[in-house]
Amino acid sequence: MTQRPETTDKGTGLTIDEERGWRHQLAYVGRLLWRDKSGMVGLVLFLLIVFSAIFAPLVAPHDPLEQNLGFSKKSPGWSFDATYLREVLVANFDEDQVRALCFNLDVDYEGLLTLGEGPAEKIKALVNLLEDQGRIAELVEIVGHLYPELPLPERAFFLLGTDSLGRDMFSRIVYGTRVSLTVGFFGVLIAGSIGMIIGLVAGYVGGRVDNVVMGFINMILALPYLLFVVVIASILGRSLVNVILIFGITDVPIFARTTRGEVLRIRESGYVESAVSIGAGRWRILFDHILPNLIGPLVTVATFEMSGMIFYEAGLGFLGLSVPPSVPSWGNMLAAGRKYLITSPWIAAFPGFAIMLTSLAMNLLGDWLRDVLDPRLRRTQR
Amino acid sequence: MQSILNVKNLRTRFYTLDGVIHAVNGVSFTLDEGETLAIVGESGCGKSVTVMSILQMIPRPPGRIAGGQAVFFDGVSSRGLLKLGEREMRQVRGAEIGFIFQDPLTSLNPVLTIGSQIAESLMEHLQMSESEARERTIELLTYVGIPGAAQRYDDYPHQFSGGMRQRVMIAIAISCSPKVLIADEPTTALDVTVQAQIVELVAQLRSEMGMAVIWITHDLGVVAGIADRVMVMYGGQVAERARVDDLYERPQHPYTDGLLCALPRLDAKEPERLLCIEGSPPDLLVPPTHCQFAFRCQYAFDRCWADVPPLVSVGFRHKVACFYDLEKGRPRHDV
Amino acid sequence: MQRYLLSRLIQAIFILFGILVLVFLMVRLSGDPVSLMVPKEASHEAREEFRQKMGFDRPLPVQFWDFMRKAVVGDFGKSLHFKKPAMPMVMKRLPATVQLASAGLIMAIVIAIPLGLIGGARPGSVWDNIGRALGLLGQSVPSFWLALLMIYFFAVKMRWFPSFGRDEWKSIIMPGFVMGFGSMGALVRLTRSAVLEIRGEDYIRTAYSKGLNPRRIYIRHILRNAAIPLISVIGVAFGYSLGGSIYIETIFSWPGMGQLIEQAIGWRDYPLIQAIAFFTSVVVVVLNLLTDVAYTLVDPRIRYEG
Repeated sequence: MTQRPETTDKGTGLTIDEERGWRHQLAYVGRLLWRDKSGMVGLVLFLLIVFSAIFAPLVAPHDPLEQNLGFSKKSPGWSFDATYLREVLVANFDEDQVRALCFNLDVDYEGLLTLGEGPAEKIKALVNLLEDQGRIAELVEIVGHLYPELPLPERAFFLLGTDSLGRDMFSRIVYGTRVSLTVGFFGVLIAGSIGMIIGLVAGYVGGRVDNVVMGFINMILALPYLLFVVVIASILGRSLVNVILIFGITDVPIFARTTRGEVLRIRESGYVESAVSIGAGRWRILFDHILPNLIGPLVTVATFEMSGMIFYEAGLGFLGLSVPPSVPSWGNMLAAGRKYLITSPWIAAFPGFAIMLTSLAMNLLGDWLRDVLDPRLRRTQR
Repeated sequence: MQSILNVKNLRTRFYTLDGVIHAVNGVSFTLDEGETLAIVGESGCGKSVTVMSILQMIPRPPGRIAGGQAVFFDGVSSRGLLKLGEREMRQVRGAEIGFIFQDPLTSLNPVLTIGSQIAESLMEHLQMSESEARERTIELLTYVGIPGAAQRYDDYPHQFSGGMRQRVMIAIAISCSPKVLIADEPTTALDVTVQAQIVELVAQLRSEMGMAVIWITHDLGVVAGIADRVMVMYGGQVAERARVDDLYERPQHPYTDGLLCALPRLDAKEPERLLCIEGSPPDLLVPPTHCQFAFRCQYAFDRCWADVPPLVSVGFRHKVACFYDLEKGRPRHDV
Repeated sequence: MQRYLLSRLIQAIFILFGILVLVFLMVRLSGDPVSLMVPKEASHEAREEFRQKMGFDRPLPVQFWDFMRKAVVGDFGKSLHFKKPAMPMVMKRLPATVQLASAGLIMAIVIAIPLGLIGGARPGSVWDNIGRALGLLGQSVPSFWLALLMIYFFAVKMRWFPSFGRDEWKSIIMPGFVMGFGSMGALVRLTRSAVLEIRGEDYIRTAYSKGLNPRRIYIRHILRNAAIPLISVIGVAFGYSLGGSIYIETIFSWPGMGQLIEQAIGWRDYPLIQAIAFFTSVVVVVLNLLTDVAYTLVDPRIRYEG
């Protein structure tokens, strides 16, 4: 009778060694991603965002901090510097020329509302009116035709428009990724590390220590989270470090609870007992059995929590409690945009969209990780 | 006399991400009125899938009934069960063919009273009113041996012991006086003493109600106590089919022989080692091109690897699918 | 069941005590509570006067005892801004916030649970995909952004709803929807996964083997079991909404606790903030207790054992 070679019991026909090789595992992950395309979308989006954060100076076309009131509240697309235009006109035009201009533009010269007397005031009023009507381009064209030797503003392109101080929205959003990802990453790092240690101690040592720790955790989880975060943020003051610390500490419970849950599950399953029975020491059990099994759930939880932190940081920014207003953060931008919602909705719309996109990417990634990491790790544990 | 159930060449497959699982490959058997057929085999041999297929209870993706027929004769007319639409199938299930499952704890809905779970069958199939159903349920509970039935109607499954719960399951299954009762390993999850009670109960019900019973088990000891005929399955196919005495006295298939040798016997003269069958269950991902048991068979020869052995008759209502003649100790000539 | 509820009650009391400690320590986090509550320009004398008036010059344990003593009877001092007792002001605002959170929850339940049910019953179908998309969006869309967008489209452009205030019945639709949106996402996902899981259970197989009507199976067997995890999620979602009310009440000018605390932060009125923080926590804890009670009603295993 011929003997068949030792195959894995999945019926794929490969040997055990081939199954465990890293190339095969990588291809396996690739297939999993392809099968569950939403996970792939999440991963790609996430990488894009990380890329934007790291290479922000390259990605952003303008300086996010550069203010130019001449470009204030411009809608997405090409715009002219209104302040510069005003200055040129005031310096070079007299009353007749202004009247002629108004005639060409079909604007009633007398009807222009001004603060004071004189053509300069009329010019300002004219430019303001045309700005509101979105007809600056027309003005520039006519002036350019009639007076070709005048220095006129060049056109500038703002992909997503500008805010009230004339800063490019797109560049600010790109730089905003830095704040969000920094908060998310370090927040999760801190909360995860502390939480993991607490959870390990609680689950491994058990007994009264466990009861006390769980008591704390349950108490913090019973709080209206957002409320306390907001209050504490208002007390500590606006700074990036404060925000990171707040999230890093308040998010400890969920990591602790997840870790403890895993530790308990492993303790209660067979193989810790068998490991002990063959004489494995405490530390050995910890490293060989418990820690590898923690990676999966913790990474999954970390992804979701990071998404949450980005969310909450934006929320804090919206209330004016996150980073200082000079730093481009999506929450700050949303708060600023709220005032101009009716006239210039893009100032608030785009940062919010960025938040949503980031959150979406991380949630998709987290879902995929959850489906993939846990059972897979348990399988390779054999 | 026509058989109450006539299954011919049933084939069921599961289309999974790892491949196509050929769970049932051409299984045939008959069930006569009032008789008890035991289906025996190890885990994964397809016994549960076979009976679930007959009632079209296989989850449709990923499962599919790939062929065969199951004719049900209720004394008046014949129906091809595999061809029935869902609505007609629902009338058969519960009312004409009853089912008992293996684990009574998980097979009963934990948030509903056991009384209501019995009564809903009665209301659905026999159109009883709620009070009528309640009365009949209490009768049924008493009938299956649950004391204080009237009070226990409103109790929940977790308030019963394992054996009591199985009695409740039996009450559900027989509530509409079905012609056939299918019991899928009903005693596997129970203590040995309780096992005996349940076996006795089913035997009693069978004789009192005149039901035919299909009893699925992997325990040959139980088979001896309750079956009229036995069907041994392996790898999704029928290995041997015989009347119970014939099977125990003259097993023709090496697998059956192995199973019987693995049973500890009270009348053994000296302490003997229990023989076990070497090897592991077959891989169902490939459709069989040779005898499935060949890997583990000590009698396997080259013919066994070349073809699938057909079922041949070796006695009165005794069929076996094997190329080797166990009694004569040499390959069969007439296959 | 009594033991279960009793232990929950005791836990709740401990939690409330812990929250009181937290609320007390909170304002002392940055070191000196006086500098927190008093404008930067204030003179040294004004600060010391304030310190004495509020009792911040006493040793910490004394302050704590006094605080606890008063808190237990509901005395959280006077609001710095309104010069009136803090707690009664907060409690007056409760109905508005509860109304908003309830509206949101009702909308969420009405939309999410049927979608989740269909999604679990027919995975891969059109409704399932809609449900799952909603689940994802509910988690990813920031409520304050959604609120602004909705105001822009429905209040300003379409003029269907008022953009602020609590005056007419229409006023509650938009803020309620935004409140409920996040819960909607969680509920769809949970219902769907619960239905999927329960469908695979043995007792559902039994129900099918009894030849029961599928509609009956879904409603009586599947939903009844799905209700168990749903109840706790609904409870959590409601409590969560109460926290998120800050944004929505601020944007829609809804006169509830959330709006009050946002204003109080601007005024640096920390006695008021303390009162709100504690009161909201009490509401959440009570809510959790109610959820526990509901739990015992729905799951007979707890009722007749724990």
